[in-house]
Amino acid sequence: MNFKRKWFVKRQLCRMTMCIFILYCGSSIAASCLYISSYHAGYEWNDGIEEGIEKTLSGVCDLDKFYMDTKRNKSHEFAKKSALKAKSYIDKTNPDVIMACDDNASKYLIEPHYKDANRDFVFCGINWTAEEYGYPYSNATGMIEVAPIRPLLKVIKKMVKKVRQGVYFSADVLTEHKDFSRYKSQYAKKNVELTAVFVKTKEEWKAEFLKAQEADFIILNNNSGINDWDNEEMKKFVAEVKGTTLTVTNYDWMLSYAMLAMTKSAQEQGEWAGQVAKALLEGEKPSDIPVVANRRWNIFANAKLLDRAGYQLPSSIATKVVYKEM
Amino acid sequence: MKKIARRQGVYSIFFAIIIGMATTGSLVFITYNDSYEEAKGKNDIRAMMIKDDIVRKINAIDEVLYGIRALFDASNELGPDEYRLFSENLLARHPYVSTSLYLKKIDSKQRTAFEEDMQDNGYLNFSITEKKDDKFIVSSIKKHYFPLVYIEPFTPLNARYLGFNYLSNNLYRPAINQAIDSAKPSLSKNVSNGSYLIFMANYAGKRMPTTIEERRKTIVGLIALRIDVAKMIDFNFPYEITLKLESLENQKDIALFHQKQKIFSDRREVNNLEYQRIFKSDSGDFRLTIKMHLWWHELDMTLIIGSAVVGMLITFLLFFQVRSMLYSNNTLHYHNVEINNMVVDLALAKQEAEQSNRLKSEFLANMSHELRTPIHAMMGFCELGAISLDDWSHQKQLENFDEIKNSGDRLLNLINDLLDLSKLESNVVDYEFHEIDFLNIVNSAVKSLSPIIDKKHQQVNIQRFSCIIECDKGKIHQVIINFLSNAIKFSLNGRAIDLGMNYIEASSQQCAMLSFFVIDHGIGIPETELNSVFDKFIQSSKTKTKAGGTGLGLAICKEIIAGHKGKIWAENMPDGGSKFSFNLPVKQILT
Repeated sequence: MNFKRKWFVKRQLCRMTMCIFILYCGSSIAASCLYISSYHAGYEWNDGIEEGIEKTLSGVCDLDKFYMDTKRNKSHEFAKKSALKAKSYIDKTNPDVIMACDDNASKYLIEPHYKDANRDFVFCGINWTAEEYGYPYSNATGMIEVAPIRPLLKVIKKMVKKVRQGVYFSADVLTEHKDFSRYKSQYAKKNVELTAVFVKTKEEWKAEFLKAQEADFIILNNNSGINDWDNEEMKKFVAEVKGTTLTVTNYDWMLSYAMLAMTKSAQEQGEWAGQVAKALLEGEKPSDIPVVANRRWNIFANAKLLDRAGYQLPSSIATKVVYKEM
Repeated sequence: MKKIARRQGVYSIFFAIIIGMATTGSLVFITYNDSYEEAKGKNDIRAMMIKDDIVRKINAIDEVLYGIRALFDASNELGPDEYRLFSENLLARHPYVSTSLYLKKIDSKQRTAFEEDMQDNGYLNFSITEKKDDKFIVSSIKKHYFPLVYIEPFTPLNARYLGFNYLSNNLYRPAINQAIDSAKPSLSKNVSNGSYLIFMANYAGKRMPTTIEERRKTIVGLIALRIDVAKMIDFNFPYEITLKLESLENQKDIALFHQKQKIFSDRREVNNLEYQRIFKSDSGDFRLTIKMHLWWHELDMTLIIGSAVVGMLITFLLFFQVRSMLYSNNTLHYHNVEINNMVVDLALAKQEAEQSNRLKSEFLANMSHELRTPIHAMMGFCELGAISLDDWSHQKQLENFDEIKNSGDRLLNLINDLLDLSKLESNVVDYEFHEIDFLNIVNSAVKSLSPIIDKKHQQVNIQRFSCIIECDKGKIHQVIINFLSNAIKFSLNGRAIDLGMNYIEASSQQCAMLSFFVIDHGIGIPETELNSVFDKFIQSSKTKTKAGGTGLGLAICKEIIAGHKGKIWAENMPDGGSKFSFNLPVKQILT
């Protein structure tokens, strides 16, 4: 009896030791993933990407994070220093796969330090300007962030009976000029004439906005670059304009001045980055996974402006739209 | 008789067991058959349900294809996000549809513009591709292409197919061409492991083109669904089943799906069942073959075992019933024998009683005669003396008074015998045992009877030897007198009477005995009456009417010898006459 009990205890101890050993080995051999953000934690766009990555990679690898914080620190020098810190961190932690999101991570970290290097990268949130960073690389793939040019026109066409001409509002900066050319060519294919209004001040913007009330629709693009922009003043101005021309935008912060916003999904970027990272961990090569564009759009509505203009959303849009009080 | 009865019993039990076993077999067979039919019926229904489910799913695929085509028809340009939303819903509802694709028709002239447009829209390295050695390469120049533009679920691995010209692949080309020409769903060859692409053409314009030429001209794209046929069979089979789905259309007799599940390999199969169902759909004609095994555990074993148990119980009941009947017959037979024996005994008893009654009647008749005879003699001599006493001489008077006295003596003896027997039977006689020479008793008896012996000119031969014996002298004397007087009485005049004695040595069985006998030369005793002559009121049938007597003498002798713990008997001599003997123990042991 005693012998049996001793044998049982010994066997149980052996089993427990083996389990602990296996758990230890399992924990020590888990893959490691590093998320490098161009921005900082708490920034809405960054948090969306992070959420998507965490959701996809949960249970797949140990996720580490590094924030370059180039949103709050916009200088070129800071970005370079931050990229070096990120590189140092990468060398130190030696992750299996790195997800570097938004433009600055590609511009200051991947391109100068890791282009075609022997380390796999997944990028996301890069604007159409990706070619400026020398993409595609043999060791990197990811998702480009494109504006919903055609989907936006579809929404406009659902709201406005005859769509022939529109006005494109933006700050007078080089990037916006490039974006406009894309809009213009795409819309021209659909027989819609799009004219641009690039302004540098809010007063210019106001004056042109009043003139644009003759058009079938107005696209309010990025206001970054209009230095004297006053949110409250401009909101008040837009609310008092008597025109009923449909105003749309691709930026969620411009919804204060537009009736509808069709925006990109940060979660989609994060989810794709996570999925590609997972595929790379499973042995796929970055060069075998094509660079793709985002396809998921969020539609927000400024209920106040829509009501004032007397628009009613068609059912195909109403089912997807999220109303926001601005 | 007993052997025959026993054999009949064995046969009956054997027959009962055979009937019981046959009943058990019949019950088991009937319940097994019912259970088998029921299980088979269930499998028939199951096969029908499988077929219906597969038909429903194939029809659902067709409906999905038509639905997507309607979606494209309704929309001027279906965007990737709209396609995604629709496909997500579709994939969630139809798990056997693994992938949803849209192939856009691009003419060779449009190719460069198309590729640039895709690149402008974020697909940086997009180009129309084809496969070579299982790798994607830029497509060679073709008249037109069907590159993949939308694919759901949109995963990194699926994204590799973006731009892939499906028309360049032999696996899909026949199905694509058929889909375009027929305007109906068309199934590709097996892509891998029971996975197929089903194509549906999407045409430009609001009206469905009616001719092949028109269809080829107006085709703008192809909707395709990747079907995992294995996932169409989502039943949980609790046993082995083989399913084969074959397309009877363009890929003649090509098995779409062949699944074999074997879960309960340790179970024993009862039978194999095979079902074949042919059905039509827009995707073509199909033949579904279902092979199942009917397993023992599917049968209602409780019912079968229950029927076997009932059968066995019937067998046991029959066995015990027959056994009980046989036992009852035997008991009845035994009781019959008992009753018959009792009847015989009663008949004998009745006969004995009747004989006893008859003997008693005869005895009473004799007794009345014996009692009356001396009294009549005494009364006759007295009446005669009263009338003629004066005429009689003195001698004559003495003779007549002797006769009166003799008659009185006879009467007295008779009464004494009756009283003695009564005493002896009621055990009120006290025996006075004394040691005495037995020869003296014999001599005394012979002497007392010598006048009668002399009168009949008979001779008594005595085998003389002296023997001291412990007995009641008077009683034994009475017995010897009785034996001797009977011998004198039943022997003819002038014949000899033999008396003898023997001494029997003591042994482990008995003490020393003295044997005495008297042999006469009379007419003897019938063999059947040798024992009964010692009973009271019994006289030999040969002598009773001639010799007279009370019939009590030998009964008294028997009682006296019994009182001495001796034995008395009679036997016939071979040369005629009879021999009466008794044995007496030499020493009386008082108890």
